[in-house]
Amino acid sequence: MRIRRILRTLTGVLPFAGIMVADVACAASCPYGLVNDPYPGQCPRFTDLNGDGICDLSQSTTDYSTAEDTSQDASNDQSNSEDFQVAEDSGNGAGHSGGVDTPEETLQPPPADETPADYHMIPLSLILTAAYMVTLYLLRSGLIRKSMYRRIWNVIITAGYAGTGVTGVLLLLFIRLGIKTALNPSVTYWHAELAILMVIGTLIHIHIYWKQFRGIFSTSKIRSHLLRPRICIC
Amino acid sequence: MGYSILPAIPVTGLYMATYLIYRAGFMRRAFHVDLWNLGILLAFMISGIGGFILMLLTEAGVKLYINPQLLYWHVEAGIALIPLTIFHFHCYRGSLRRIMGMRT
Repeated sequence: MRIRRILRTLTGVLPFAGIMVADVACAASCPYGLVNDPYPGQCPRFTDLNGDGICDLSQSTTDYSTAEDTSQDASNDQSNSEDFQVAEDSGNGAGHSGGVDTPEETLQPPPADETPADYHMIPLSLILTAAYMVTLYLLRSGLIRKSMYRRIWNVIITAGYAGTGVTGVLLLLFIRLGIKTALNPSVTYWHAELAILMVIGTLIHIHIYWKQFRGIFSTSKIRSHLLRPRICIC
Repeated sequence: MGYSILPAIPVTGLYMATYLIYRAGFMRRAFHVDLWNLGILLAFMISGIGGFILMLLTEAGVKLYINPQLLYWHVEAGIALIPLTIFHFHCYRGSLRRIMGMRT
């Protein structure tokens, strides 16, 4: 019965998932599929070699043009006039920090980096899950105390949240202020790696505190909170 | 779409409000803690799980129409998740002190 229910759910979900995958947006080489992402961009990979104020990765190869061509394009109305200004400024040596002032004749379209980013998501998730299984086994065998078991995972999850938070704030600052440093790719990489630790750690945290977690959604508890206030204002 | 730190402001204000209500005795501690546990869960679902899905798609080289929206809400919920995590530590500061080896 249960398997039949799962199969029924899958048959309901899979066609929609298939349609979504089939409707894949064909952006040039932006890993997020962003199209014509203006300065300072939505991700730390913002690259603007032609100085038109639009991330080169989010521009399709056919749309790739120099700053002047882009400014004359009627389809990109107001934002383009601003972009043109930025491009002109960059030509005069006063461009934004996100772009690289390159002579026009040496302009080349960005390399079509179609290699997907490798964040070791599945191996890291499996390692964390296996480590959790080991500690759970040690706990059940009585080799470690419950407080120790909880402490290990609380420290891990704290490290995950702190690392993801700090790197996330750094990335946000990089994006908002248009800072381009050699550190950007490594900050992005560690943000992703620590986020895996954070997500898997949170799922483990929920499992460790399952009783308390279930209590949040307990209707009787909610009712008692709402119907019986602690202090009677008489 | 530029990112803003706006989600962190109402979260901080609401936490202060519910904390003051709880301290004044008009709300049980359990309700206050449950409320903010639910808040951190919601922010985690959007930011953490959303980011996980985004990473999965990026790693697989899949570009969907929802990716830019997912990236935007991942960042915005992440901004809200920072104060929520600090408030979670505040709610469980006793446990945190024990973990850090500082007995009260």
